[in-house]
Amino acid sequence: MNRFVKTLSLVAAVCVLLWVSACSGNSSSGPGESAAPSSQPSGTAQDGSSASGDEGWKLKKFDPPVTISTAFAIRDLDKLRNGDTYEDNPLTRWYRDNLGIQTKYQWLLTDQGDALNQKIRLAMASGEKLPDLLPISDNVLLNELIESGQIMSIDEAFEKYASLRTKEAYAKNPDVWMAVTKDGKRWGLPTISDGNIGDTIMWIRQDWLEAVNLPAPQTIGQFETLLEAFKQKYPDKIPLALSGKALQPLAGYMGDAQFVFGETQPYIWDKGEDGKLRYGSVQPGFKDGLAKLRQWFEQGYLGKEFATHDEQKAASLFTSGEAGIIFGPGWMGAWPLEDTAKNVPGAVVKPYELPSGVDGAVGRIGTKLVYITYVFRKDFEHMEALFQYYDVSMGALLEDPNSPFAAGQGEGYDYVMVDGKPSWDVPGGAIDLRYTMATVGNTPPGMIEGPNIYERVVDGKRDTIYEQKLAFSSSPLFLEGRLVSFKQLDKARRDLFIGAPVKTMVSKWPLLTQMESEVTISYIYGKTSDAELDQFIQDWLSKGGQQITDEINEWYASAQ
Amino acid sequence: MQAAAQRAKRSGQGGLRNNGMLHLFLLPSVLLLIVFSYIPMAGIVIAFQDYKTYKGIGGSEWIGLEHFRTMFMDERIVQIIENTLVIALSKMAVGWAAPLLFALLLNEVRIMLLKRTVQTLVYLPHFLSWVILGGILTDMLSEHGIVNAAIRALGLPSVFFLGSGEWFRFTLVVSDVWKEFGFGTIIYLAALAGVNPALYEAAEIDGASRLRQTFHVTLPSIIKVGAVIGTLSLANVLNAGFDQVFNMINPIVAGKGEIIDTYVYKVGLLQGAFSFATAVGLFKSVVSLLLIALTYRLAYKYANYRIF
Repeated sequence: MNRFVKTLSLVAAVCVLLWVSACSGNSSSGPGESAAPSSQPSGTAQDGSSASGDEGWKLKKFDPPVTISTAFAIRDLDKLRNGDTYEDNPLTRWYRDNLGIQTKYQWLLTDQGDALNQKIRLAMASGEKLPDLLPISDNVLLNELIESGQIMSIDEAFEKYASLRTKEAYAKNPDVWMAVTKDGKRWGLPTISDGNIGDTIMWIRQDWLEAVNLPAPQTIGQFETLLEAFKQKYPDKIPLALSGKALQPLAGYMGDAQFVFGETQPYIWDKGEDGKLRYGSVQPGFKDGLAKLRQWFEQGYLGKEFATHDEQKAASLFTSGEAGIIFGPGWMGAWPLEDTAKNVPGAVVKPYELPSGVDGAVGRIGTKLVYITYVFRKDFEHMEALFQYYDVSMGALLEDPNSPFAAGQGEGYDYVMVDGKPSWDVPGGAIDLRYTMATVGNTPPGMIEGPNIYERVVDGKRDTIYEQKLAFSSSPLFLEGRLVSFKQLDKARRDLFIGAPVKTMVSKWPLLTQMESEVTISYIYGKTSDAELDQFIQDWLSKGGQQITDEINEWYASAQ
Repeated sequence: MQAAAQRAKRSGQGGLRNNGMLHLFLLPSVLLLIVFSYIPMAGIVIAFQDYKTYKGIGGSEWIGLEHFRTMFMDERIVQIIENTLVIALSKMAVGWAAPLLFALLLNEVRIMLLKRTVQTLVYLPHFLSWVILGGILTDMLSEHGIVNAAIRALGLPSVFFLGSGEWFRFTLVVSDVWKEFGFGTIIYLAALAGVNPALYEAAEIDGASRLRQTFHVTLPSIIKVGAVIGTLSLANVLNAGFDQVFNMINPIVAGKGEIIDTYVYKVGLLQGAFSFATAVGLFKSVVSLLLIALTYRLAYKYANYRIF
């Protein structure tokens, strides 16, 4: 009896332990994955009444209120204040009180390891009902959703319900529809990036420039002269910081060498003279660029170990004073280049436009136009409400003075009112409110007339609330950098292949990209000969490259 | 010890009745294993399908060995398998010998404080993540790094460790062993502590020097432990260490450094290739299973050594 009781209580204790750990495990992963829905700071909405010029399209309030369900991926930075919840905060309250649209989170997840995409796939496989609205950042998943028949096409809804300025934004950027067009229909609403956030510009140590008494280079010849001058003046430093270890070796998000290639940018599918898409890295122009880089390597301008440097390492070479030039996006002015002045006394960093490349032309890879696409569950009935919401959230991005979100998304979060005027010095730190369900994301190209906001703010304008806001929250170097990236916009060459991977890519693409990155870097290092480089181009085509090119052109023709 | 266990078994002392408590303790782990490791094995079937998430396992098309065909038609697969085997086997060999030698040396240290401190210190690198270690090593092994500075001080030309295939493999093996040998050392030290001191005294009386004592007394006592550790590590014959390789690889050395796992990862990046990634994983598991079964059999036949 004794022994039996002992055994039983032991088993019971073990079971309780298991159950408790399982439960706490579940609850902590419960409100897990965060989807990254429309989460842009510029989520200011336009006040309905100021929808001037929108003939026939009016902002309206839905009574009884409409609920739209979506998913949200929570990040550490998504803190709430004043007892707010994810569904009840200044942002969501505004939409509920003024438009009668309530956000509901069917799925709340933590933004870890691609969590939302996994959740969506699981839901598809198990037949679970999808939320009304989902933000998709993965082309493959987008394709799977289209094929599964669980999402709806939005052509009619767009025609019927989109506001005039929404239609204008998409009319000015028609390419964004390519990724979602299949069988002549549009299966989602793409967001539109500002078209240049990731575009590369040239960052130089101004103090070095002055020390060698040369102007900022505008052609590749002048650039070479500068490299030589830096090498002479600072023999133990590296003139140009390059990230050879990036996923795409010479086109990492910092420390790239794109400008060298001029019009024939590697890694992208660009339109050739015949109107068809072709891959940049196997065009003749690519070889010329590589030859130039090899020359520079031999002369010691790149440092011997750039193949082991990833983007962060390349940037840290510059910020620690080891390198004099680095190429990278304009936003680098904020991070990491701000640290340069702290690490190296007397260092001055300045952004410049790109010099021309080996073919005499200026070129850079253009930022993707679409990062996130919104898809809608098949029987979703409130498209009209959605486009109302969308119009309001677009307002601040278009610098609409009447937007209710002009000062910020939520009082107490990213702005406070002081004496009736907005102040961005928020006690406790500014918090980004990312609960805008659907937003175009950025200021679409072509929508703002006249000089862009960075140019205005750098010039000293502080008239509109947007200019004041930007001036307050950005460092001068960041503004200068962003300004420069707007300058050579017409020279940016965008990757025109934005569909899901084509059939042959699944099996052959890893091999081809591997060959490409190996040959590229070893050629620069002098370990591969010219003949072998030519052989690589032949091999690339014969080992699947030609097939992939054909399949991509099929897609391109069908997505028009 | 074996005889005693056999006697216990015969007399019923090893039965469920007397060891029920122990079996209960084991139960949660066994359940966990069944639910999370064995039952999901059924999902291997997607390696033979053109799996589409929205169709699920039941609805996806059956394509048999197509993925395996694709894998073997990728001309790099032979090189990749070679890389994996070379790196993994080197790691296994060096990673087996290093802790053994180090434990033998450490065992001779008489100052207990020093011995314990060193023991703890060598175990610490195990807890570092390769994400961090990769960055640190890249710096340390660079032109201006400590290692090359030391090499140059010896009058030799500096070595670009991460710049050639052979040196890269060398770096992978040495850094991985450095990171993990602490664990084996602790086990061997424990085994060494269990050696009967009377044996040493007997050997000394017979006139054996310290070195001969090591060979004839110490080594035979811990060789059994060594054999267990060695045989168990065989399970990793195709695991060349994804974390490490992924963080340290660069385009120049990729030819000699790419392993099966990084290859699967890259293919998986294109996603929608779940089936393909599963197929390669299945291939890896089957090969490992065959090699392990073979080695266990050989160990039993020639060294009369059983794992089970």
